[in-house]
Amino acid sequence: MINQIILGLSTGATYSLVAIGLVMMYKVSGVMNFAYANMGMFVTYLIWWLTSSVGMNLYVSIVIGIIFAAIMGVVVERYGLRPIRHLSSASMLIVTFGILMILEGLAVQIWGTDYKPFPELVTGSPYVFRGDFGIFVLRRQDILIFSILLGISLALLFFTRYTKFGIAVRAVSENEEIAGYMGINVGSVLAFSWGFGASMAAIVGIVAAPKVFVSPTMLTYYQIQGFTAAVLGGFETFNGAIFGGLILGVIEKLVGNYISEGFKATISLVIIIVVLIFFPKGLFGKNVRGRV
Amino acid sequence: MVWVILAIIPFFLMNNAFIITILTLVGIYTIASMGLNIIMGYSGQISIGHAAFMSIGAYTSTLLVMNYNVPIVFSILAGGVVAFLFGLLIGFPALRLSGFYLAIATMGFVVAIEQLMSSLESVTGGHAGIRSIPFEHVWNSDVEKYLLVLAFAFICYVFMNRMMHAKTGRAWMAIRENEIAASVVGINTAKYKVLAFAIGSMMAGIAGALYAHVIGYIAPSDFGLSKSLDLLAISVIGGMASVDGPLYGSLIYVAMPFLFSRTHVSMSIVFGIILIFVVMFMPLGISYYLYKFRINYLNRIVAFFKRGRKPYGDFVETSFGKMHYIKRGSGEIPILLIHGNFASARFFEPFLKKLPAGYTAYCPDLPNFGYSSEMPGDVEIDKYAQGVEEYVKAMGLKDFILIGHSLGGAVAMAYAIRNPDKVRRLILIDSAPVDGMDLAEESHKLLNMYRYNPQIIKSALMFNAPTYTNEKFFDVITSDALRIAPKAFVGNAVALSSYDYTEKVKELKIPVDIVYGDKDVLISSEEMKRTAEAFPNGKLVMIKDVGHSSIIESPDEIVKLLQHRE
Amino acid sequence: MASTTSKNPNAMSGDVEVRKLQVWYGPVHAIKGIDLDIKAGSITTVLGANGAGKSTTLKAIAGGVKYSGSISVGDELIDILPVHKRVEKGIVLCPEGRGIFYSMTVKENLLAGAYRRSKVDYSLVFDVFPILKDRLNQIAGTLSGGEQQMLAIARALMSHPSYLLLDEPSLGLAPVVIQKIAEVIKEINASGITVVLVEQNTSLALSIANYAYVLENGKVALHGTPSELLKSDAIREKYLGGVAK
Repeated sequence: MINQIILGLSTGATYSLVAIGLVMMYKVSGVMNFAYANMGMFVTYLIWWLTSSVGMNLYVSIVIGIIFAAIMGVVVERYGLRPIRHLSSASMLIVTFGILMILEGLAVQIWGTDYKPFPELVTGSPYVFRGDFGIFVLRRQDILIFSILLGISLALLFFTRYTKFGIAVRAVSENEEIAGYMGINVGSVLAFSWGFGASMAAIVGIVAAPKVFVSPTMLTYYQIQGFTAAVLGGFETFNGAIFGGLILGVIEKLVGNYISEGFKATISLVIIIVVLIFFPKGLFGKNVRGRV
Repeated sequence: MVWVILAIIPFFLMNNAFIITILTLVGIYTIASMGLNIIMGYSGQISIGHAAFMSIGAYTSTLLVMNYNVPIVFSILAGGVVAFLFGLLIGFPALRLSGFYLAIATMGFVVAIEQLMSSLESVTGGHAGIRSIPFEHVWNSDVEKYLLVLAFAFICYVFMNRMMHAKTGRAWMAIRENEIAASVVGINTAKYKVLAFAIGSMMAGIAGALYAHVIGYIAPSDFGLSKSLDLLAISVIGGMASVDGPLYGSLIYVAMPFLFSRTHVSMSIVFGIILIFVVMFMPLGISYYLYKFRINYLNRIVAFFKRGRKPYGDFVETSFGKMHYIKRGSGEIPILLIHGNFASARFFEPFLKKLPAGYTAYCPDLPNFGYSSEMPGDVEIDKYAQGVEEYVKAMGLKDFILIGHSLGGAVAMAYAIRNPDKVRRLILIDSAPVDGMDLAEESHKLLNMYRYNPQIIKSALMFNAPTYTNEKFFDVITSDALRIAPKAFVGNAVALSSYDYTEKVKELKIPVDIVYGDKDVLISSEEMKRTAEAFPNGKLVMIKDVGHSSIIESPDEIVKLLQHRE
Repeated sequence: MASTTSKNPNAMSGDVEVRKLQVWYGPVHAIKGIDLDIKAGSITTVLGANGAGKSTTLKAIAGGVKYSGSISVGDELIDILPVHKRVEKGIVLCPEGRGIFYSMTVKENLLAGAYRRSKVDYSLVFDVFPILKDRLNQIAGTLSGGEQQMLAIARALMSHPSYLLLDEPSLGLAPVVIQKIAEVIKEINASGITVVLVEQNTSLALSIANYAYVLENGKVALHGTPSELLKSDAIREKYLGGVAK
């Protein structure tokens, strides 16, 4: 049982990473990025290609990939969304659908639909702990993902609390117009939020790829779970996103074991609807803001 | 009717089963997209789960036909009904969700349905789907499939059109614009929003069922998130808040792969680019821009045909060209009548019919109008007055009664000021005021629209003569109006706002009657009073219950006035 | 008053000239062509009823809305400068309704205000608002109305502005607090900062201003010194009649 929970937390941690990216983009720019998964997918393909066809070192490729993701995020925000910000959120949302379609098409076009393998970032045997409570297995991959999540959480915490730009990010999230009057360059903050989000998507792709293989739809399900996690967390705070993801991972694992695998998306759907209707502020929620 | 043509088409394409199938697919996506338009475009709720309803309809219909031998039309309807019910199911929670959150929920819905259909293997055939779905046909399966889809498309189209023009449609649009305002006004927003979801889903269900029977093979992945997004793209590109948009969007969606078949570009890329382009630059979709195109360009063709070609009067030569005019009567006292904007010499016909003996009436087409030549240079009231001077000189008129209507009134004033000795009496009928008529600059664009829009010209003329209802008369005047020199459409408005004769008319000693109808919308009684007071010998005459064209609306009154003062 | 130890090196100086200002919100013509002369070092107030265009005028000067016409400071036109550049040059807006960041602490709000500064200097702010010193770690949303307004002004001061634009600082505050705010504004002005004050509370504004403009329907209806305006019957009737809130 406890191992199930650990595995659940491990997948949950990935969901948390997705949610963090989504929440950052939403809080700052007011758009929910439905092209998130495909951004991550595309960069993962890029990294795969760099390592397998070009023969680059895996870690170098990853760095290049993440930088590429950040640039892609900034470009999409600056040229795809900024021009129509004043129109409506619905228009911006539809632009993200367009990006989703284009990225999927590009991936299929360039690399085809075959599943490609992706190397594990860490290899080796899992750590096994024996004791009175039973056997408790901790795979290296789990440690990796927990470390990444922890690292990013701490970095975010430090960034938003103690750096000037971090405060600018929070200011723009709260009130874009007034942040402008403070002398904050709102455009830079917007660009940053999308650069960050896209990079997070890339990280998720890299982490998930060994398990689900690289394919055009590799992260679609992660995106849904990421949204669900964010909703659980109220879509307002990073902490909410993190805990939402972890909880969701555990729920999913338990449902999968005791009910059936095929109902995973249905469970998410039910969670989304129930939470949004009965807990509009999320389980950890603060203030609710209607954007559309 | 277009539909009849559509029904006949397949018989000409019998050799090309492929094209028939393409058109059939277009029909299917049109139906599904019409449903999505109801949900998104009209009631303003976003849904990226629409394909799930297609899936529900498809599987329902397929299972009914294959397992229970239900006749196909009923099974399709059943598919629609089940989809309708699921639409209700989603519609209620959707009430509490808006915008992005609804998008998330509907996304979850379509993936959940896809997963469900995959996992219920015993019933739905799981991942692999169902093959060899039968389609009972009498003669040619492709043509019959096409006709079946066309029939449903027709029904849905008529249904949607009816709804949009009825209370339901208006309620939806009110909700879309401002939900709070709508509820304040008493619209039961919940009922209408849920209804929109249900009806829209029903159409998707029908489309899905048709898809199953036309293609013959369905699998859960046919109706996943990508298909939902495709449907959304079709709606947006075609025009979300229109009934014909879905057709254009579907045509592009289905036809596109063939345009790109030489290259190996993935359709998602192209479609995604088109979608973004439309959202950024043509947000109202193709439907709207086609409509504008029709108005701007097709109307030009109509205008071309409706333009008058046969002069109906005589001509005199003047220093700037020909002037066209009519002459009536053979009495001693000459009357010179000057018409107004968008009119011509024969505008006065209803009055001329009542012309008493003892008068001869002369009605010229002003320069820039009717069959007279164009006035050189910019349009000015004083220049029109010069044109009248030329006409008077050429016709050898003197000591005449000068009558001016609307714009013609301003011209008459200008003429009288310049040639007081020629005019024995001035009658201004619903005339432009003595100090000019201002028109806001924003109207200039509108005025240019009149150039190619006979319908608008006719409506304007009739609107300004509310009690004279002879439509054929206005058709004739409109045909003259279409001959107006292009520069005069805006030029006349500018000219009307650029003069002020208040000072100059102080010298005019002749009797002046300022006549106006109390229902005149263009000119106020204030302006008429001011004008009457400006003339030393001016008298204000108000005619009850007529509008801006009293000379044709109540010609008898004008005749009375004419004879009274003599 | 305060020693302004680290003055703003980029700050502009001189009179502010607004010429032929027009602002459209979509189809609505909010400001229909106004001219303003704001003397350096003065407290100039812009009065008028709701919807007359006062806030919009301030936003135009701050660069937050698109406008046609020209605005110059000293002899330099600032029209091409975006909002954040204007803040750098010393033009800072304290928006209507306080507009503080409710979820952040007092200190974080002040830091946000100091965004354009290379060195964060609290001295000016603590001189004028000593009470904030004790509240640095309090969440802004939990402050009282008067304290929030002070925070808003303080935050604007953090950038060491030369021109402080205040939008209805007295809104929703008790008379005692309004008095305090009025004193604060005078203190700030005494240190050399030009204040442009938009107010619905006409008597308050006229009691501290050097010059006043009255807007009606997007146009300047009247302008003059407070004593000139107070003599006008129109002002007394329209704006001072129902001012007590």
